[in-house]
Amino acid sequence: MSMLVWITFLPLLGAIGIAFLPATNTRLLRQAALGVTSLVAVLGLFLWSSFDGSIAEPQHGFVRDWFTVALGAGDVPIRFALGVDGISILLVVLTTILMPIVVLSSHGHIEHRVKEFFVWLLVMQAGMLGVFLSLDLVLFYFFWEVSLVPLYFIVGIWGGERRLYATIKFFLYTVAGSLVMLVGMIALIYGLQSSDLMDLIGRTGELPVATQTWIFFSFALAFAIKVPVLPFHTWLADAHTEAPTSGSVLLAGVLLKMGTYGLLRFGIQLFPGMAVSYSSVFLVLGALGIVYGAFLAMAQTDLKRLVACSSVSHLGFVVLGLFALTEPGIRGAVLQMVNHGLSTGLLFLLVGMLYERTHTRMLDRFGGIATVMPLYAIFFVFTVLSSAGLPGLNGFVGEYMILAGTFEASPLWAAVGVTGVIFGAVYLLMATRRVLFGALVHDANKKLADINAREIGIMLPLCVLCIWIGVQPNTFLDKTAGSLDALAKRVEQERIDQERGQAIGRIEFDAPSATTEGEESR
Amino acid sequence: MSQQTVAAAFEIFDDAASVATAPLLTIGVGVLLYLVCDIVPRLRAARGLAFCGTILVALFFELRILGADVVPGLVLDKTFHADHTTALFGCVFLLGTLLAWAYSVGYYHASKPFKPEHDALMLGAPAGMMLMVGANDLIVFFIGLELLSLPLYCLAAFKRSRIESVEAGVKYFLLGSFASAMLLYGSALVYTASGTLSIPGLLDADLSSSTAVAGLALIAASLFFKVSVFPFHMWVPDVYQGSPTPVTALMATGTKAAAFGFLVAQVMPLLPPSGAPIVAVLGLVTMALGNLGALVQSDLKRMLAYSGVAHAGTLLLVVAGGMAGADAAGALNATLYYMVAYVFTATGAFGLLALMEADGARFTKLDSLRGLAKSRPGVAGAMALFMLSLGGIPATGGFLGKWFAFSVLVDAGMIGTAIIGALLSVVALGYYLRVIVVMYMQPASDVEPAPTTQRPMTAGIATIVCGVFVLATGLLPSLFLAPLAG
Amino acid sequence: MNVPTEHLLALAAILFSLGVLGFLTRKNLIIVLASIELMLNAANLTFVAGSRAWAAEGVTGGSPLQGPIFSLFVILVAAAEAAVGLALIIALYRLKQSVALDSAGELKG
Repeated sequence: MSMLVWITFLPLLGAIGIAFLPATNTRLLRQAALGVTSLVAVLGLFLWSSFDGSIAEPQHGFVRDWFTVALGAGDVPIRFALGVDGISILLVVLTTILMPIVVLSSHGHIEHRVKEFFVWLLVMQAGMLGVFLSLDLVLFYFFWEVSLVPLYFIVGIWGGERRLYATIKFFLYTVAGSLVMLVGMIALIYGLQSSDLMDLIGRTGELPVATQTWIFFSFALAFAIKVPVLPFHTWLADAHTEAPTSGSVLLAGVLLKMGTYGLLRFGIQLFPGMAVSYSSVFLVLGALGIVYGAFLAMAQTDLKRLVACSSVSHLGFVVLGLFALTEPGIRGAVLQMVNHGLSTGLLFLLVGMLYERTHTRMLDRFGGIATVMPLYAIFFVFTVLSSAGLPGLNGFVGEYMILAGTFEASPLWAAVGVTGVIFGAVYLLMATRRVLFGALVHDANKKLADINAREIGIMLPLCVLCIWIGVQPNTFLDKTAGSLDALAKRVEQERIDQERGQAIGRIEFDAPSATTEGEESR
Repeated sequence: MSQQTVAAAFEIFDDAASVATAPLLTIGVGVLLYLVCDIVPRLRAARGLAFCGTILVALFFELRILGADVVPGLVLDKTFHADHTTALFGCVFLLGTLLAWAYSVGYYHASKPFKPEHDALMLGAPAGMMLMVGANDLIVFFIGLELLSLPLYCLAAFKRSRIESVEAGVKYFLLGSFASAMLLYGSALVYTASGTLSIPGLLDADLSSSTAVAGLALIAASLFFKVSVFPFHMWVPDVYQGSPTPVTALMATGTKAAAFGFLVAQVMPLLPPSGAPIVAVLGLVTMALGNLGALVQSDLKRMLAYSGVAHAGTLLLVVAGGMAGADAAGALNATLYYMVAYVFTATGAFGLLALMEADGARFTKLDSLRGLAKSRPGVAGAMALFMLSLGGIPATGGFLGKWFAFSVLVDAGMIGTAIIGALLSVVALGYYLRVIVVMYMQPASDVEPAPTTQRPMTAGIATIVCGVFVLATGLLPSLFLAPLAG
Repeated sequence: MNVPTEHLLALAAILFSLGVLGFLTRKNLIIVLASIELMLNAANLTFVAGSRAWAAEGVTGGSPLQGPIFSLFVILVAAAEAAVGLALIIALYRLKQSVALDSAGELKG
């Protein structure tokens, strides 16, 4: 059996196992959860080392028949198909590595109903890995929605004061998007009589343009809500703010990446023609997201909300890079997904540690923390710099590639993006100043304990990865090279075809709508 | 003359007919057997055995049809139809009845002396459902409907000392018999217009005369009443709430499944494609009313009743898709799958409510579930599973049901309808999630302590069975689709 | 005397309408039950009339009995319905000492 099956289902088995452990023995539960997630992480590292980045096609494939749908012209086999390629490898490994850290980070704040927490956490891991690994549309949708339920419980049970509002809002927003996607997905499957992703890629051009367009947008809507792209971002701030620290880390680290991954996989790879036609829409939304998110973050008085809003801004970069549709743009965006997971994950961990000590997240309740918690301050400054894109750290590489890629496609939006980098530095450094430096005005803050070994241990691996990506990004970029090069070439071909098609349509036949992307790409 | 008639009767009742009607006859014999067991004092202990035995034997006969390569097809002078689809429906009806019965054990504290009558009535109900689904003649359908409805009228009013139960019974009876009368008069009009009541005959007949159209409209209206579609859904919340909860489970799932089964399996070819938009709009309005109605309920039985209305709306969309030209077999399979998932989910959900009611006071208010996850994790977990299935979240049967339903719409080219339907089901998640919120995310209310009395073991088994089926329909659809492919 | 089929159908239609009207407007449950019976009998009359007309044309295999047999089924079921209905009304009467429709909450026709 393929390694991927183990990676996907080991967490699920773990969840079932943990469900049978005694609920009162928290120590045992934590150890079990840590054991399972570590085992998956080891598997993830094995996967990493055995993955050949120069191959464009999915590797470690695993295919079994699941069921057959007899509708429309014939029988469509729905298959249980897993595989990993350059688009998904980084996210898969990130998920496996982040999980033990999330388990460890739960020590401080998950004190009641610990068993349930770990069960949901592991179910969620299975769901997220399934999303990244599945190569069948139905299977993808299956995991996509399954991964919602655990977060719904995690935010709703262990969240902050407005947790119920936040969790229901999160769930309904996401489900609204995904149900529209479901209709589009069904239309795609029946239109082409296949639900095999690798088979569908390259065949979507066979559909009429109007059908392609609405299916593309039904997918894009679901992913845009998940990312979230600008007009749909309101759920994120609430969900992030109310989620427990571990939930926030997971949300920022992996769950939001499901949206950007979807945009890349189902927006660009599946519908290159549509992506080319409508890339400007996403460039605008991405660039606006960067700036708007930055302004939102500046206006926040709640530190956690500030980090949440910064997510909107950072993910705007990813969207910008993806829909620049140039090779550096896409590769930078994929790297930036990981970067955001690391930096924002670290930021949420740091906010959580501070909250556990002070029980507040209001910026005006802090100030001068650096004097009582010097180690904490070091990590905080490091993370902020990584998030703001200091050269030598991870954020810089990703943002630089994205902006370079965007500049090729559209200098204007690249320029808007650059302002976002500046704003990002402004609000992050402002927050740093207000939290760490200045006078220690609040008496309650004078007796804060510095971070302990466990907390350092949680953050250290992430910091190492931040530096590694900053100094030696090729370790990671090489793994994605094969798939992303092929993808970028395809998109480029599509763009050339479209331009030529329009030219032909205008000059030779004078038939404005007769030339379709589909016909041209064949 | 009379000898010839008798001989003809035997001729009609050939081998195929005996195979096709074996489950029905089993139920008939079983009900009598049950009553005999009740009358003879020494046999009283065997009543439960008689009930389960009857269901299991009938189930065996249905499975025999399901497993055979050659199905009986049209039998009894082309009035009754038996194939894999009707057999699968039959299995679902029988299992649904068995589950509802399992939940009814220990439910009636006050009226215990009448429990045998209750069981005998309940045992008769699946015969009506099976007759409805297999009916190929409007009169046979009518008889099936009455065979199902008459026991349900009585069962709805079975808590005779409680006014709401009797009221529910009277209400259900009046509106139900009104609908039956509409069905009959409609059939009579169709008969005057075409000279036949058999469905194959009607397919060939010219039904464009105003008499025939009026007749078909009346028939459709009575069916809409039975499946609780707008504008005939007003009775549902009152009746569902007032009836004893195990009966509500049977009522909500069985009647709906049987009527939709008949509608999709037998009637759909009769309906003109031009009517598809109207049916689609009715379906969407029903979904909207059901979901919005459920959103504002604080009583769980009422909420589930409205949720049932919304599900009927979804199925009506499938009917519209079938009318608009989607693959007929696809529409039938979608209905069947949706119904299978719904029957087990809703029976489980109502059953858990029955379980909690039986435990003490009338615990069907949403707030009475507060803190259930802590006090009774098993019940809360099962309830959460059923809610997610009703909401159509993957890994449950509800998701695949929804998937197949939308597939039919896409197949028929009704994309707009599918998208509106999809968005309406987001509203539905609003109230399903609220149940989970109350159970898992809010502390137990200190006003009313959680009831703790003996729970009958049958209810636990029934819940496990429902849960297993909900998961099986969600994860292993080929188990249920395979018999239909042949 | 040979009554034209149209007349019979019209009479049935009037009976059915009266039944519907009675069902929707009357408050006494017994009368409401009677109204339903009226509707069922309208169906019976239509069956019989239709059957006669079709038999004359030879469509029902020449047997004029098809409609009456349907009617027999209907009468049978109607009797069962009446039995159940009256039993339910008695149950309601025991609790409320009344057979008025209002005593059953707010019934929507």
